[in-house]
Amino acid sequence: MGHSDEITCLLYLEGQLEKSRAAEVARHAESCAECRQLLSVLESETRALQQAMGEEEEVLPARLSRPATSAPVPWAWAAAGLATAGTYWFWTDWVGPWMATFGQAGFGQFEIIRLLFFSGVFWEGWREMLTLLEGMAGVLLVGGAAALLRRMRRGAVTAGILLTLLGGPLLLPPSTEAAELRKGTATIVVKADETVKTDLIATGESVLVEGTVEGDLIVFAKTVTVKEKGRVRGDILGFAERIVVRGTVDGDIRAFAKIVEVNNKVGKNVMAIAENVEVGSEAQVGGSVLAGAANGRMDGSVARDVTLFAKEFRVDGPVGGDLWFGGAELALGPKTDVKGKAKYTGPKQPDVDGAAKLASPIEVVIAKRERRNKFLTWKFYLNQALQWGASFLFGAVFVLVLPAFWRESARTSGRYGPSLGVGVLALVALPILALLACVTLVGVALGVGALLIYPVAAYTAQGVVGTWIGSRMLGEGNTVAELLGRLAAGLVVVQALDQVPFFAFFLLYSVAVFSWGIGALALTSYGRLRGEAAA
Amino acid sequence: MASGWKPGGPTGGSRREGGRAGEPLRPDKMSTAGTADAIARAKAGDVEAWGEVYRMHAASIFRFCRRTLPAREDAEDATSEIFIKVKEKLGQYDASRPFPAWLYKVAANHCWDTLRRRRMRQDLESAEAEGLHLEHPDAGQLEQLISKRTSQQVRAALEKLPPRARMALTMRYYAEMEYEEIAEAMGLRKGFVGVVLLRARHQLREALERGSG
Repeated sequence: MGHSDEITCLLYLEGQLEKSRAAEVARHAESCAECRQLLSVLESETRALQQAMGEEEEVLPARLSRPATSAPVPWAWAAAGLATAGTYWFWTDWVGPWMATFGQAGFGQFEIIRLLFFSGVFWEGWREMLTLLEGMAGVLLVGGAAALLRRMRRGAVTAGILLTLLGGPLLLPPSTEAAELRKGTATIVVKADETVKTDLIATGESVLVEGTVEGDLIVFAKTVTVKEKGRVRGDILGFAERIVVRGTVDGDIRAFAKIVEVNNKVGKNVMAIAENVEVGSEAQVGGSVLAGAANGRMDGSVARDVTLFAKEFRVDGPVGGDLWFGGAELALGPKTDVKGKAKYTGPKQPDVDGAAKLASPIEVVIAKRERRNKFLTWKFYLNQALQWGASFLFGAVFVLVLPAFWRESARTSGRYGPSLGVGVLALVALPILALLACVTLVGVALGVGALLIYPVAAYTAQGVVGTWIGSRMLGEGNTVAELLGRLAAGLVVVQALDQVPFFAFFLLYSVAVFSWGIGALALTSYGRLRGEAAA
Repeated sequence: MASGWKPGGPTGGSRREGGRAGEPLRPDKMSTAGTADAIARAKAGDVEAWGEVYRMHAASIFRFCRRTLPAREDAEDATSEIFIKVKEKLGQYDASRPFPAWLYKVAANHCWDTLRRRRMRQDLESAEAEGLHLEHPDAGQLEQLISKRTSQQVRAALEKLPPRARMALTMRYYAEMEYEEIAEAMGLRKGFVGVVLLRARHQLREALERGSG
């Protein structure tokens, strides 16, 4: 017989050949030096492998020195109970009242999301652009990219594709059908004889509307002015230092600014978050008014409810619905005429003019600031426990779904420097990216989505830091139950530090915890991507 | 012509016969009779006995994971997860079979699952299609390559291999698993295990060559 090939030699050495075949190989090797040498070399290769793999070059890590346990622990029940209670508290004390308040102002329940995305300003443009076909093409594109990512797991490629996906929409020219985009450093003017047939998105030092905008006006600028003759047939959505609306608006006004002034007909609602809010005597608001301000006054007429959160506010005009005030000082002037109920919540009696007309006497709830030491009240501790429960619930979801990732993130937190650095970067970069996405129509949903990540990220960061602190206290945890234990214990510390009664410390502390946790999460995700790419 | 090999029969599958001379004795190869008792007690729910079993085998399982998985953290996690599984499955263990063999089987399944979950197994699909050099290799050159390398260099080269090759080599030459067991753990035909091992050896040789060049 001829020479045995390498696989036959290997199978022979490993005792995997049939008896007759093995005998053949052995017989041949006796007379063939070449095959003997191959067998010999393969055998020494086997020995080299066994030796290299068998050597103990690394000691067993300390955390593996004793067996991990997966036994359920009794505190898990208590934690689950608190978590449920925490959720309930969060819902009834925060989400519920806020929804009710927004509901009063014409943003009931899930109206905000509906307004933002489906019937409100944002959807107007989307409807034109996202036809079913384009939507499907988008899904195919994302699916294709995902498949591509699975194949090419190199970090650079991944990053490149992600950036392209994120940046692509920014580079696309906005559809002229849907909206007109005007950018500039100086003043952007819609002239008196000019009519913008679509939505107008404008960014610049100042934006001046003297003509007509048929669609919505979306502005990011230092000052935004709609002149007396100017008209916006859709909504105004504005972010600016100063927003002055002296012209007619047929839709809603939603303004976030330092100073907001409205002094003409508004077809629907006014929502203003600003330092100073002024609804002038010429204003006629067809819907409701919701204002959050340091101070302000409202002399115009409002057809529906008025909801005010303010330090100081003066109302001197007709209100078709209810008037609700929360804050410090409320004054009702002589021209006040509230058709619905009126309610005041604050530290002292509102100043009601004798000539003011109220359908029923104003309901006054005096909410004095708690002077007692809060640490001595049982309510404080109940609140703390419930808050802890809510945070724990959030972390627990992560621990249960991604235990290994969570453990690694907590471990990454141990590298304070890089974690904090990356976290601060994320903290700064996220809003910038979101804003960048927002200024182009295509990216509005992306931008709003990115901002919605914030609260989720804050909770997650707290959990990661909590788990790390817990691990320092109790030693590293292996199993899900142990991880949950570390999370629970660590969160107590995180929350206790939150109670230090200096605002500066509180602020710094919150930012630090947030950055630290987010940084650890980001680094871990990056490491995982890299790890998979390397393998 | 060098030829240390004497015809006398195949030498594979030595685990069941105990440790080889000149090699550090691994804990799992020590007194199987003593562990049998500890395992029996652990099976009955004795916590201390379980601790004893763990201490006896944790290091070797950790090293198994270290050889097969890409990162140290992964190996640490896998080790504790494997022992949790083993503890749960202890009732299924057939005491007439060697305990380390069973332990490695659980470990191999776990690690292979981990790799598969991370989609590190893409070389699996392509491996069968790729041709293997079946001709006689240059034994003299090969001998040069192998005899000159230290264990440390071999380990460094092993770490550069694709997961599938590492897995196969570790199962065979560290855990000393049978071809059937390897085939079962990796979801292969038994007849293909030899090909996978040989291919892995070729990859190791390439890595060693690159490492020296």
